[in-house]
Amino acid sequence: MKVFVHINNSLQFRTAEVNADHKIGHLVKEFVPEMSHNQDFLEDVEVYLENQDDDFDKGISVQEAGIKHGDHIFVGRCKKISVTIIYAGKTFATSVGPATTTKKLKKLAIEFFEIDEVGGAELMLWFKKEVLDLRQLVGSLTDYPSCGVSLVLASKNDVNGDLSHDLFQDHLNSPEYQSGEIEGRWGTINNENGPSWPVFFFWVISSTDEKFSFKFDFTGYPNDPPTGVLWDIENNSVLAQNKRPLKTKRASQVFKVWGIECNYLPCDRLAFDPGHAAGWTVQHPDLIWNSQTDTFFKYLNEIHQILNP
Amino acid sequence: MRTISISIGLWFKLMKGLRRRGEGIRESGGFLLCSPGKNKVVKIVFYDQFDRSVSESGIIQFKGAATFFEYLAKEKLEVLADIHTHPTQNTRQSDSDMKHPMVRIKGHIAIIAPNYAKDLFISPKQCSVYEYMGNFDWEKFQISKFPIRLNLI
Repeated sequence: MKVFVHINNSLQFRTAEVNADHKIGHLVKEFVPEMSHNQDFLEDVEVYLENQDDDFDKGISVQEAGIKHGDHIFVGRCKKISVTIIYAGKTFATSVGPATTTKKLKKLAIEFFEIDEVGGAELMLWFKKEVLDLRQLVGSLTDYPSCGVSLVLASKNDVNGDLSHDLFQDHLNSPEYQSGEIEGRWGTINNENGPSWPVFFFWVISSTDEKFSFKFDFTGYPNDPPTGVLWDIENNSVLAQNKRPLKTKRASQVFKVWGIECNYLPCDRLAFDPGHAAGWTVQHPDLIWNSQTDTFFKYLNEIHQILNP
Repeated sequence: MRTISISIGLWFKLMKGLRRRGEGIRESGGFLLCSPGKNKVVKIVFYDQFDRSVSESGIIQFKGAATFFEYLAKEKLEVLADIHTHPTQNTRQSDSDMKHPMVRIKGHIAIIAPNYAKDLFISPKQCSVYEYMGNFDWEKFQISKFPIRLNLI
């Protein structure tokens, strides 16, 4: 069977092939060989099963110890580890067995700091500015004789201030959008199980009763306009040119394949670059995005009008 | 209910720091720090002191929490509140604000300042203040129970 062996002062754990009748003491000699020449040291090295505080008798077999295929064990000299975990200026100090997992430590810390379950789910344990794998055993983070470790409980990324999705939902419930949806002019596509915000899919009906799908990216919305492109939902790719609705002059301008994967519209974030801005300001001032007043309705309605000349 | 006592000088420093970092085009934020168990703000730190890229996307994406918490331990300080700006007068919490408490302990206070803090003077009452109740649930402080007290020193 395979077991995974953790030792002091090493984040790399090793795979060991052991037989059921292997003696526990054999694991010590194999995985702490630098100590095995010194009988005094060897006596001090103990073997622990993951999340168990009591060490094994080195004279018993792997089977007698109850070690199973896939188990994680710790081999080392630290019998207890002093752990301090800091969070937002507060400190949790405890002493645990060396085979305690960082997953269990995180749970203890979250209980100590009285952090709720959903809030704690995104917090990680950090060691020397790196996020710890929850599979690590705490004895691996320190060495004998210090047998102590300091950790930080913190998130990886706290996002604040993005109102784009909230405002988008408000706009999705606006009468102008809802009216068009009920009349069958447009609708949303599988966004519940689909992409994550700021990506969102709409379909828009054409004069030939064909539904065309559009993939939108609402990054920075509504301060910045959305960007959209004809989308092939089945193949999850930009719609091929031969499938595009290019029957009118206006449609062939807007839905053409050009250098950038977006509709060629003044109210499209990617299309509206300084090279086009001057001309569009004169030709289509009504289609230029106004972050104070416009919603995605302006963009969707323009597409609908182009598809229904 | 926890109150926040802050000197006028520090409040100005806070608003000026948010304004300078936001430049009227991006959100900025920081922490109001106190001695353990106290209510008086003794230090202001900004997110970009611990994560230089925090405002690059236009919103707050703070990846410096672990470094910041080490700083707090070293300085023996605690977080009294966090603050960040919104682009407009709208200081209601966004979905992101609610689901990413900067400190996930009940009673933590989050402040939202309007207009990228670009107005020359923003009084505390122009901001919205929220208390974390756990499980991503927040309560907004009403004006009658407004928790920020400005002091001369």
